[in-house]
This record gives sequence, structure tokens and C-alpha cells, in this order.
Amino acid sequence: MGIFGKVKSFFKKEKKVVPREDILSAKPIRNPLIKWEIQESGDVQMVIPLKKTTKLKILSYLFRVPGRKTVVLDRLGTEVWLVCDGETTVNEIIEKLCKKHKMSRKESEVSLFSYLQQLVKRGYIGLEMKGVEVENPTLVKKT
Amino acid sequence: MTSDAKGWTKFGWQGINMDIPADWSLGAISGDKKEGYLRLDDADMPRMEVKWRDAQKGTPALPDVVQKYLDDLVKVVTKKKVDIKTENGFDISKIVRPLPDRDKVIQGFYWKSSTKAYGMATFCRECRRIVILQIVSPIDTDVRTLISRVFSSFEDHAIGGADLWAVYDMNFKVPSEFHLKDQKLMPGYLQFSFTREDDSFALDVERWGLTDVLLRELTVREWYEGQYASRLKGNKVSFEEVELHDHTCFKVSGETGRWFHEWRLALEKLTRSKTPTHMHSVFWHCEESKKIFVVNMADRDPINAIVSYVASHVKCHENETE
Repeated sequence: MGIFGKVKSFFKKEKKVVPREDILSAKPIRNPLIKWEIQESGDVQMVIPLKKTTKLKILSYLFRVPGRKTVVLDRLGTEVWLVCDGETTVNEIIEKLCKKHKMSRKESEVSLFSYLQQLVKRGYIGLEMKGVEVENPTLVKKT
Repeated sequence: MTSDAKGWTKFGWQGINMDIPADWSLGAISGDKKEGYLRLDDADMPRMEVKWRDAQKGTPALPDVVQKYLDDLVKVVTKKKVDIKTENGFDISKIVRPLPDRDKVIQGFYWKSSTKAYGMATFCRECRRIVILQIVSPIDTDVRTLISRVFSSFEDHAIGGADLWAVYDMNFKVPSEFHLKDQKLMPGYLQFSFTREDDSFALDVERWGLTDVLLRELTVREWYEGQYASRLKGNKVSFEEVELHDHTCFKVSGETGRWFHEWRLALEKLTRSKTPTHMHSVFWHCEESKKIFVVNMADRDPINAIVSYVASHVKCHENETE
């Protein structure tokens, strides 16, 4: 590694990888700022307030920019959303998915980790730990 | 599902198959039938590694094969400044009863570092495959029973002319002349694409999960027609209901009838690719396992026995009557 590489690596923040056991014992909880309701179809519709960034402020001078957006979750997303109550652990959610949808443990875990990561990144839910790192949503790595 | 009451299941990949604990799953793969590697993991750590290759002429000296493997392992481990103790020629028959098929030459080995592993290298005189397999475990765990079951159930080639493919609770057989061309292993969707060496027609075996979501407002036929619309479009197909695996299955067959089909056939010699003229498919919804299984093939034959064979050898749920 040359000198530039060493300097770069010195300043590069190391990503924290949270142990799997800690993720499994975490309890996801919905962001209280997000208003949501169950539609007639049974799917959850969320109303998410948009963050007033500089870009958005500039755009709002030129266009009529809504202050919120609506997201409708699919059936599986709705199921997961409804159990993000701050009382149910990730492991319990996995077990529920396995039992209800006859999925293997690995399938449930990989898909749930990936989905929770998306929800955390977007600020829709919170977990007990920060910096949750989850694996690629494929089941197996091709070496 | 293919696991038995004691938490064991069948694993099959590239002609290799054995019994494994139900909580082990495929963690890594590479290569093909001639030479490759796979790893099985449990929730905490990698548990089993299998490497295979076709042997050159004659009978390979397994002690040398094992020694080279152990030497490479020692190099990697000592670079990390970790101690390792190895034993080539470990008497695996002390643990594994019965030993795999007697048509195999077997060389056992053992190593111990921060974890430990029991392994064996095998050479099969029938299929001429050299396989090295090892089971890794924590130092303080007694794994003799586990190793005995896994190793004694090990097979390195197809029995009865069909390879067993069994991963992630999916279990099916495909005639051995088919080779795996591609696979998609995603949560909720598994696809295996096979071809034969003498043609380019693909045999696809697919499993769709979460059917209570997929079929919420559709019948399985409506779902199939929507999902495979591009494949069905322009083709003259017929749907026939048949009984299979205690389910009502659909058998789809037909002729490809796209307008440019004639031109493609005429240009075949230039493009060096064979154009299929018929499509065949069998699909069904298994309510017990909440999965949809689809077997597809497009080829030149108006009658295709392969799709029916493969479909009949898919194990879609436990306790199905065969």
C-alpha cells in the first residue's frame, strides 16, 4: 500500500458491523412522526413528512412542492410494519414469517434484514443499535 | 420440505449429495460439475466445505492430494499467526460408520486450530471424481455422530441416471446429462437453469415462495399467465389439468408461433443457435408448503418427457404420496 493509500485508510471511517445476535435481539419501533393507516385492501399507507433540505427549499420557489409523500406497503411489508411495535424482537419477527409463509430460516432472515435496513435508512423505523449492517439480499455468495 | 423429524435434511449440488443438519444452508458456491467448491453454514459459522474435481488418468494418490490441501491450509493459517496441528491419514473409520460406498478410495484427515475439522478425501472409481470434504466445529464440541451421518450418507454421483438438487428446502431430480448453467437463489425465489452439452435449450426449474401474497387475488393459472406473459405471447399453447403430488397441476404445451420464427430458422446456420419450436411447462401451487413450482423447457420436440419427469421428481411437501 503506497503512502496515499495509508493516509486514505487512516482517515477512512471503519464501518461498524453489529453482531448478528444483537440484531436478532433488537426491537424495531415505528417512527412516531409517520402517520399511517390500514387501507381497505389491508395494506398500510404511510404519510411521510419530507425533510426541508436546501434543495427542496429552492425547488419550492419554482414549483409547488408537497411537504409530504405517501408510501403504500405491500402485504409482506405491511405485516412487518405492524409488528414493529417496539415489543417484538427481530428474531420473533423472523419466526413469525417462517411459520406463516413456510419460509426457511435463512430466507426469512436474509429478506427481513434487508427490508429492515431499508426502513432504517429511510428513517421509517428505529432499532436499538445504530449502524446496522446487513448482508446482500441473495442467499448465497458466488465465490 | 425434506427434513426428517430429527432435524436432518437432504442436500444435493452438482451430483454430490448427503444428509445434513436442517439448520445448515448453502453459504457459497463456485465452479461447475467438473470442478467446484461449496460451503455450508449454520447460523454462527461455516460448518462444511466440499471441493471436487474430475481426476486425470489413473488412480490419484489421495495421501498426496490431502497433503497438498493441508500444506496450503497451514500456509494461510500461519500467515495469520495462528497455530495449527494437522494429521494426514486420520483413521476416519473410527468415526464414520458405515463408510461410504466401497467403490471409493478414502483418505481421512484432521486439523485443529482455533476450531477443528474432520475431513476425508475420496476418489470414486465409477465417476472418477476426487472430492475433499471437511466438517468444521468449535474445539469443545463432540461432532462424531454428526460426522458419521454426513460422511456415511455422502454420494458423489447420480444414482439411477438423475442428479439430486436439494437446497433451501427445495428438492428435485434432473437427468444427469443436464448441467447447471445458471441459478438465482433469492429469498422467496429459486431458479435453476440447465442445459445439455449437445444443445442450447434450457430446462428451468423454479420455486416461488410467499404464495399467500402472490395468489391473494389470482388463481395460480392467472398468476402464471401474467408472470410468463412474454413467453406465452404469440405462441399457440394449450393448458391441461393433471394430477401430480396430490395437487392439480397444469401442463402447458404449444408451438412457438411468432411471425419472425420462420426467418430465425432460416438464419440458424449463420447464427449458430438453435431456435426452439415448442414450449413445455408444468406448474402447480402447493398449499402445504405455500410454494409455486414451475418447470419450463423450450425445444424442438412436440412431445417432451423431460419436463414431466422433472416435475414428477420435485418434492413439494412432506408426506406427499409418491
